[in-house]
Amino acid sequence: MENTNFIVTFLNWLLSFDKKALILGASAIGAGFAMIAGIGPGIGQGYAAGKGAEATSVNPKGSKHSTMIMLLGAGIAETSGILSLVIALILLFGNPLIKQDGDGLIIAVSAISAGIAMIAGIGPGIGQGYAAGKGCEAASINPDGSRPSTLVMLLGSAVAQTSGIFSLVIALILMYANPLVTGHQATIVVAASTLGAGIAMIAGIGPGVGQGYAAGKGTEATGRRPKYQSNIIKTMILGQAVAQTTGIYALVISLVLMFANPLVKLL
Amino acid sequence: MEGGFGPKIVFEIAGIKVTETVTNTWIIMALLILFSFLATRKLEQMPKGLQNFVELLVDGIYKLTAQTMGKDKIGFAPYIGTLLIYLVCANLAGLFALRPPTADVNTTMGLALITFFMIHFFGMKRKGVGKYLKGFLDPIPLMLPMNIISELATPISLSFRLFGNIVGGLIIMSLLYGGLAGIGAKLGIMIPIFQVGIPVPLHLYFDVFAGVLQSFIFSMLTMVFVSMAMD
Repeated sequence: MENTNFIVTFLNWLLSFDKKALILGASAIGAGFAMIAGIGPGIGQGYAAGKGAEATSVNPKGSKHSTMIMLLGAGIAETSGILSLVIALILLFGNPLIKQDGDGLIIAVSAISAGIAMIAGIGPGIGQGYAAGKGCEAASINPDGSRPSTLVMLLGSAVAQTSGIFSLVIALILMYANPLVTGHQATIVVAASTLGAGIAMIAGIGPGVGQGYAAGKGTEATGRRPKYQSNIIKTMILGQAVAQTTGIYALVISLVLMFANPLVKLL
Repeated sequence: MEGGFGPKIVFEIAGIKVTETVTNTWIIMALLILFSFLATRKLEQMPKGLQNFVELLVDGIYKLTAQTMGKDKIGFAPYIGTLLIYLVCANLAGLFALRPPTADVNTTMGLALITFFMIHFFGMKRKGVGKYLKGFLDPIPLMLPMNIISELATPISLSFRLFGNIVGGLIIMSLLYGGLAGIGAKLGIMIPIFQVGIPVPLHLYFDVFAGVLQSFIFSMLTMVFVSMAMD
């Protein structure tokens, strides 16, 4: 008779491996997951490049200036890709989980989960790319007002990075200080909670895209009326703070799953 | 951070481990104090050379503060200037083979906590405690827990934005140097020829571009948050 309970079969198969091999395999999967974030910077920088080309046709004389601003914005939009790359490189070259004491399955899941958390980087990448494009556009339409508008672009992009930063925090906690690893109860619940902590962070895509849109519009508005820069910044940041809320929910749930898990007590 | 990328422990005093972060911060502090001393030793009515440069810097910081926070909050300029100059030096330390102090979460969290307390202290001072605390019930009282959590999230995102960028660059650069040395060793060349030139563009992006930009962003966000709490 074949055992039809696939999950049990699968878990038994996993546990048939040596602990270290299990963690190394999981780290490979985690590193791969982390790199999915590259979707974001790709889309965002592509948009910025398109706006750069457009700006060159609108104002050929000032094309050098608007191209510089495009590159500056694209450099910022690269951040989430870089942070994901860093997490992947740590998993590959400086993996702290190999020396970790505790249950092999939970540590393995921590590695995968750290990678999954970084997927949120898609959001900031797209959003900051949009802001970069708008910054470039503003510089070509009104070269005199390009300083204040670039400043708003920088500020807005920095705020749009927030959810990517939260994901980085969770990924680092999972790799360096996962409190669940030393738990001696209910391996399956704890391993699943660890996975959940990473999956929750994917929500960060939303705030990243949304805040980036706000940053782009703020940049555009400042480009039109540089005099009202401080009022525009205030409105933009207020709105961005509201857009951050769902990302904060995700962070809270992720931290609860790791540090104050109610499910473990139910067993 | 353990796992090969963390700061090394230089020495111990009475059980307190002093890491590279602390010693490098001291080096930067000493250089900045020396620079300030030399720049202000012979102040003249008609600035020349170094004094010209320093006046330009101070002037720029005052202008930026007035523009970002409003003319009534010009008193923050000395703090913002100190923060900005320290962060630029700390983030560029990687170019001089020092481990950047900002690649340690303790440094960035410390600076972010200063910002956090500034936001609330000056908010209360300007508006009065009662009115300031009432602000947490906007737009509807139901938002109170959300508002508190988002206030607490501010120092976390501030500190890790800086830390993540700098430590990311540090890790990538150290892996690159290790890899280039490895290639050299494989080919049996003892002179480090691969480590010359190849890392330059990456240094430009990670140390110069990201370093200076993140210093600027940290200072800008500090200014914006504090002035928003006060208005």
